[in-house]
Amino acid sequence: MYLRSQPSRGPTPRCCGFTITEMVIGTFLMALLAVLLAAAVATFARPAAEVDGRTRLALEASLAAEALARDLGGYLADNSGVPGTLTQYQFSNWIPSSDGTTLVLNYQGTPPAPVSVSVTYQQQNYQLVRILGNSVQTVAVHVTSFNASLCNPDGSPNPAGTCVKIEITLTYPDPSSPRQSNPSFSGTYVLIGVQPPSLSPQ
Amino acid sequence: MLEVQIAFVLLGIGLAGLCPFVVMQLRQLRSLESRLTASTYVYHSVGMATRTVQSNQIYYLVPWNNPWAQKLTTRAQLLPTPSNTSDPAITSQPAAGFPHVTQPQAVSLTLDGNGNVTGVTAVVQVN
Repeated sequence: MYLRSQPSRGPTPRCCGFTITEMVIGTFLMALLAVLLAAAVATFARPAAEVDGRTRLALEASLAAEALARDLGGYLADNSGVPGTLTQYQFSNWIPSSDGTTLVLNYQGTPPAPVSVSVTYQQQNYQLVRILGNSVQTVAVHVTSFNASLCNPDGSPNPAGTCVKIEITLTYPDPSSPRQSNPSFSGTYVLIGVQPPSLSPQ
Repeated sequence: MLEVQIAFVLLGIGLAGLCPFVVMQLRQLRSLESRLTASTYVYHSVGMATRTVQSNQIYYLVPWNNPWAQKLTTRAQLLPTPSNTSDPAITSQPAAGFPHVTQPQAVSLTLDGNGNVTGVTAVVQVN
């Protein structure tokens, strides 16, 4: 007995590819995913960039405030670590420049050191620098403005005031940075220096 | 098409993983900004209008009243007010011939949670 094979009657073979309906559905799903992705970026990535910029501003402002607090504490730190006497390196006065871009702090020296020691704060190339003799130290970066002026204790301007008002504006990224795209952040910090109490002789 | 969808899903998982880091850094930022707040903030964010936030916060750099506290710490107090009411007012000049004082070890500061100085410990040697 011989079995003779029957000719196949299955479905005719279809050529590879996808229909226009499948393509439309795929495009719709991709568009939906893109929208969801954009929302996720707006939710997470943008706050991350904001937090990064604001943290840098807060850190630099804290560094600048600490440096000024150290120099406005009534005495200049002695590098030798020996406090000495109450007259050595005692704060004398402060002299802000007429345009406010420079603040000079004067201290009383002790022989054989110079009679007067000066510390200068000013902005150089988007940096706040502290100059003591030939030593130039960078106190903070991203500084776009530094202004010092005499004022009253409440902060109102007064050329004969007893306090000094220091305004520092920090911007991240600063104009010297190669990264100039958004986002960018600026913060203006206002510090008022109070003179040390005068010592009444006994 | 499937590869693209898998790529999108993986990217979404990566962005979700970014969330804890953002939250952690945001908490640190709040701690930093609570210590020193700017008088004016200006934000230029992506796709948003420029925002200006005014707090008008002013900080005072107030030296200690005690001259030896000034001398030994050489750091003014960072306060929101022009004076520190808890700082004892000792403003008299020491008598002539006041002994010379040396400091055998560094001054240590006690800080609170916001980084403000709440105590000063100094070891001095009087000749």
